Amino acid sequence: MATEHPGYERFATEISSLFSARAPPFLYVTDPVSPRTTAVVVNSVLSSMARSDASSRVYHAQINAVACFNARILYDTVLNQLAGWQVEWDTACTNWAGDNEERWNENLDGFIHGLKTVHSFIGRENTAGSTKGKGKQIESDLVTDIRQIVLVIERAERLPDQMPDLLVPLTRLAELTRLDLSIVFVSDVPWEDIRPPFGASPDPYYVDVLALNKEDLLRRLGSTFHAVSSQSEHTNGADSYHPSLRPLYSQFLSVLVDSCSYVQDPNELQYIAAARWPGFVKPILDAHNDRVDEDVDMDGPDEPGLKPPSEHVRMRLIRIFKPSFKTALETLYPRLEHATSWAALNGPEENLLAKPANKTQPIPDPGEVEVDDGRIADLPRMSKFILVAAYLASTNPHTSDVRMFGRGVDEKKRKRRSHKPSAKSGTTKAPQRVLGPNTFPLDRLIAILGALLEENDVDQRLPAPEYLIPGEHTDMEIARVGIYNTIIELSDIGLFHRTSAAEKLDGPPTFKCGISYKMTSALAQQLDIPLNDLLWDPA
Amino acid sequence: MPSPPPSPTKRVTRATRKSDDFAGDIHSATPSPTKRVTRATAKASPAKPSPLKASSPVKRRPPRARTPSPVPDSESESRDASPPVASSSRRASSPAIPHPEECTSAPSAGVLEIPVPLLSPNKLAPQNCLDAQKREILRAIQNPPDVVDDEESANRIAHKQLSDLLKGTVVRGEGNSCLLLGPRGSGKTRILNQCISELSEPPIVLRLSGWSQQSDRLAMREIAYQLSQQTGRSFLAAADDDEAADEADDDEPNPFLDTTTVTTSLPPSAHLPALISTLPTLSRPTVVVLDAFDLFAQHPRQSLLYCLLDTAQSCRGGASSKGVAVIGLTTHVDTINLLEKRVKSRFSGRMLRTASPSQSQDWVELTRGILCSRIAELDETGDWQRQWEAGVHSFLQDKATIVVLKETFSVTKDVRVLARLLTSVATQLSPSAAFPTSAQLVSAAATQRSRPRFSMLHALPYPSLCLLIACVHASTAGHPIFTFEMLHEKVRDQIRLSASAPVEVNGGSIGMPQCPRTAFETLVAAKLFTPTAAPSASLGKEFVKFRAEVSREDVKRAVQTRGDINLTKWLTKATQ
Repeated sequence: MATEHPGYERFATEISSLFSARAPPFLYVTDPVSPRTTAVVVNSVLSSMARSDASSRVYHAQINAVACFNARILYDTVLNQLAGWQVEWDTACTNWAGDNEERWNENLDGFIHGLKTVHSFIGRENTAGSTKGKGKQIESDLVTDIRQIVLVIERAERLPDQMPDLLVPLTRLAELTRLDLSIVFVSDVPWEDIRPPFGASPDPYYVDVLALNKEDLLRRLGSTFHAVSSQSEHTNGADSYHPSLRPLYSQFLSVLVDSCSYVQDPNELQYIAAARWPGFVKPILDAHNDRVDEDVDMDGPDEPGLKPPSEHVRMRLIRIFKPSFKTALETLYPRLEHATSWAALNGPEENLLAKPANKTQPIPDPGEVEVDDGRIADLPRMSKFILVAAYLASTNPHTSDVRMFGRGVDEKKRKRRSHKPSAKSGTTKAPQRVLGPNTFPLDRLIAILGALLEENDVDQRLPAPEYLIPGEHTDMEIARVGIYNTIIELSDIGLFHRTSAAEKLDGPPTFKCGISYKMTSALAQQLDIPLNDLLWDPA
Repeated sequence: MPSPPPSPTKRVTRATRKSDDFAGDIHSATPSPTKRVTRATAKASPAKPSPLKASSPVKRRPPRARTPSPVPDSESESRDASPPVASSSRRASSPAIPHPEECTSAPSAGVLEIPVPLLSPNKLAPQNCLDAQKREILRAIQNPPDVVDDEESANRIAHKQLSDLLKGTVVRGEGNSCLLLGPRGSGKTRILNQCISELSEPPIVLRLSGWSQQSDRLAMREIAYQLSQQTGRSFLAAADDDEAADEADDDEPNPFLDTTTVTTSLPPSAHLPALISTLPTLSRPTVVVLDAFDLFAQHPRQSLLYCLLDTAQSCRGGASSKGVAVIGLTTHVDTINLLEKRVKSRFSGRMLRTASPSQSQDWVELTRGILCSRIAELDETGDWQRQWEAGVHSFLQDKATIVVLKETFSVTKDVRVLARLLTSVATQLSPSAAFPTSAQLVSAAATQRSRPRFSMLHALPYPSLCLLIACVHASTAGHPIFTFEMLHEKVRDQIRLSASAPVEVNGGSIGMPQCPRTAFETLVAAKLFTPTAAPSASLGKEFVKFRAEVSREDVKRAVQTRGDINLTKWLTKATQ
């Protein structure tokens, strides 16, 4: 049983020995790294116990607190699973109702009655299955057999938020139902964080699961290769999960695990590996297919089997693909892109191995630059100015405006805040850019915009001889309706946040900037604005 | 009619009927004369007879396994028979503590390890014995034996008083009310169940719990349901014992039927006095058990308590009416002060107290009692029993064991903590280390007893740990409240600073982690960071203010456990 779960042998043994007799009524399994895998292990251990061992029968229901987001769904899911009831469309999706067509999902009491009924129902099911038509003596004899009901609740940290009233009764379910019942919470949050106040719940029996080390991780990941390759048929011989590729796969995994070493969740690593592996073996499969194509003239059916690649080829593949492991991690771990489309984008070129070694580039090409947020890519020029002005207005203190943007006689006067840490006061003020944007009134935004335009936009305007006084043209520009319109538009698409109520009439409307420093500096670069000179507290 | 109390000799039939009752939600109908029925009769009863079948293959094995090699067995017996005092047992247990594998290579070192390492062909027998013993221990843990033999102990007194009180209700038809007070895990429910099961005539038992019946209407509905189940049975049961459970609330001339069949709506609360006042008119006496009594006192106007206590008080013993007993179980010492005046005046004021074992020696005895629980069906395993008891004896002679037990006792007197410790010890037993050791108990104490608040920090992913260190530095710099951007900038600066020595794992540089936002959310989800204000739509996610729950010491310990040089350097570096 333990061998089915590489890396989790100890945990599986502990769970199975706990449930071999009378398990504690309440267990709490903490796995800070990969609670999903742990829950899978718990469930498969319990279901294998339900299948195999005759002396202690364990009937379990596994539910996810995310899916069961209210009490009724939870009750129904548990009872349906325990009774082995399939909810079907044809029967109007009715829930299991027992013999008396009762509803168990009314409230907690109903659920407890339902659990008791399902407990006796399971007993009768079994005896009906094993001893058909025999005397009642035997039946009642078998009913005394150990029947443990186990409820496994995944993502249990959701319970206090979603069903605060239900948390305590769930943890006390064994004493409320007076059955041989255990409840298992699986979560990445320790019990101390969700424990209800005043000791309302009994303390659980704790089981801690630690992160896998590298060997266990490799064993666990490698075992899926075997599972996949035994499922597929290998009809054409050129499958990326062909058994003979297994040594290569383990080497691939070892490199992958090293380069993604801060991800310890086997699920995540599996996701990345599954996205990368087909592209990784494609050159080998291509080469193999080429060979087959050449041979096919001579003898068709006698296809040469796929041979494990030589050490040289392995090293070459790993050298080519190693940079892409990191990009895979950076893109796929936060799910910035779908795995399939990522694999399609980062696939190797055709017949990579046929090319000479010095012509192959590592994947991806190092020259690639990351793409910016799509929202600012094709904004009009004035909108970009407005956004930069808004960032400045949100980040600089308003008292600094005259110093930063004023055009007095003495140009040298502009100076920024000094950066010396003051020795007296212990705390330095954190820069506004990390504390988040301040609100600013519309007038201030317009004024800063005027200053920006006057400094950076004058040269690119069409000649306008009707404006005689310096700055008159800019004043004209910033007074246009279009500017106000653009501001509203930008706040509609979320690059600004309007902080004052829309229906408010008195006073100027106030806003907050909604773009990051990175985005602003990209915009400033496009507009040729020296952003760092204009910031009160530059990075 | 309820079946008469069966004779104690017919063990199997009694057990089966009991579990049958329990399947049908009728717990108290048949009394059990056994002393060890505890906590819940239903829980206890299947445990006893079940091993008969549970390990029937085990039963036959030991003699068959022993016959081919009588010599080592007798040897082990003779050695074990020598006085199991500290010297021999220490010798036996000490090698088993640090190196359980070593014993297999050098079997002569561990006398008590004999069954497994020496008799390789006989592996099955000790293995089975061990498994059976483990099962028996786990069963005993859920159902701890009563070890305190003192006649004056609080639980004995409470048991006597309570059974007297219940007898008054059942036999003489009195109306009684009392409160069973005691800390958690001190045996309130167990004593009550014991008393109920010892009664000569099975009463109707209505069990309510403040945890599930959170309002009077729910409680009333539950009373109606349980009444119809139990009174229904009393009419039907004589005819057909087995199907009683399922057909209990069929067509019954029963005043409560309308309240149970209307499943979609709760009965109006005006029905409550009428429902409760019928209790004395039932055919059998009634015992109302209110678990978490203090929570019922928080219901508006305490009408349920008022009705129950009023009925109990005004109950006159006589031929026409049966007795009513209201038993409240609670841990709150001042529960009586929570009662309103009109409710308190109807309460008898009787309070029985239960207590946990009061001396640490009791715990040692309890441990011995649990660990040495006999495998009931294995009569032939005398050898195993002897060996096992010697092993347990040496385990309890070990100083480290006693220290852990005494420490635990001085922290909490809750027996359930001891139960958790012993569960952990029992699950760690394996054929290579068949007897409990103090090392196992120590490791059990580390995980089960007063757990450190942040024990798993070192298992966090690398970027999360970076963020934690950054937040330690932020709070040193005077910013206990931080945003994601602040931490992110610190991490970025640090990585830039250490660019000459980038993050290296297994010889390969992984460079700057690119997704600390996910890492940050991991920390928030793990409740290591808590937001200081409610989230608002106008504030970007990266600027939401958080406070760290972890202290510098926790992070320091985590980094030390992790043993990463870069992180250690960064943590110990002066804050900028």
